[in-house]
Amino acid sequence: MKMKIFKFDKNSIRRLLYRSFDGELNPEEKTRLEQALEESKELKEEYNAIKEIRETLVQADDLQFSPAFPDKVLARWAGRQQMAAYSNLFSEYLARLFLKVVYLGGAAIVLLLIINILIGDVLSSEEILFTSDSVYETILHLPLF
Amino acid sequence: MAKRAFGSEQERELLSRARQGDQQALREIVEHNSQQVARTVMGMLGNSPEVEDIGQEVFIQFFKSLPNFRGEAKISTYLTRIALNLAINEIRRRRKERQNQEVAAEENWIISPGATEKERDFQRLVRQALLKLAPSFRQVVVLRLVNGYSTQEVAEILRLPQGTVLSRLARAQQKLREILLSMMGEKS
Repeated sequence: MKMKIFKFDKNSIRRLLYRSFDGELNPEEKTRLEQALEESKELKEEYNAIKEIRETLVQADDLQFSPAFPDKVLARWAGRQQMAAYSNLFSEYLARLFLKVVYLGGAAIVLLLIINILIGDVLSSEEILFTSDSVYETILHLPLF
Repeated sequence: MAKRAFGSEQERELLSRARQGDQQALREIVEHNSQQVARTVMGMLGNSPEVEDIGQEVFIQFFKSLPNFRGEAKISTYLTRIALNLAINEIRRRRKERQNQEVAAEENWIISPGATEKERDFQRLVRQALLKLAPSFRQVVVLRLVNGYSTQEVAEILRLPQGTVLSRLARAQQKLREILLSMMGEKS
């Protein structure tokens, strides 16, 4: 059987060369690459170099953490959870404190109002709520509806 | 090769135990995936002193996200994504500090003990060259070659089309070879 002779440009063959490692080449592309590799010493060298680099990178058994790694992770996680628990407690404490302040503030306002009513000579909104009667009149006469 | 992920049923069961705070389940997750995470982080950053700390943070972030983890991706895929993000953050931090720790880290490689002196020299050189690649190229090389993921898995982890992964991988290998040639030229 006569072998098909392919004409190729360098860039398309280089693309095939790199694809050959990761993507599957169809039979025609495979033949084109094989032929080009036979014909070009430069291309063959590049192919071998990439092959060697890949084979070297694959050997990664030494890339690992220390044997105590799982213990360290779990200890760190326990620490973080404890911190989160403290932080939650503090937030709850602040919320409770804030509520107390709100209740006390409300009670103080009511108390002040009562005192103001009791000691005031004339029962007017100005004396009770520290706002002039004219403001209320203006509000009451606003054409809202 | 690194340990592979659990089966999906096993993984679901493990996740449910881990969500309930089962320490043994958390330990199993760490033990089963630490090598994969180590390869990702060390491949991206070199064997510098802070890599183990970043590795620990990968698992902590995963544990934190456990209540929201719906299990659409495998645990290992999710962990590798976190590892890559943290490694890229670290690269940015190093750049900001203008400390070329990656070069310093070159000296710390513990190369496969069984290899010959020549093989070890070459392995060291290749890993140094890897650290000189741009992060977008480095991550595809680390995932595909160092971690041993398929190109489809790499595409899934990086949320990229497979074609983009393949072209980045090709370009990365080309660049790696160029860097190696220049390093060898400098050395000789």
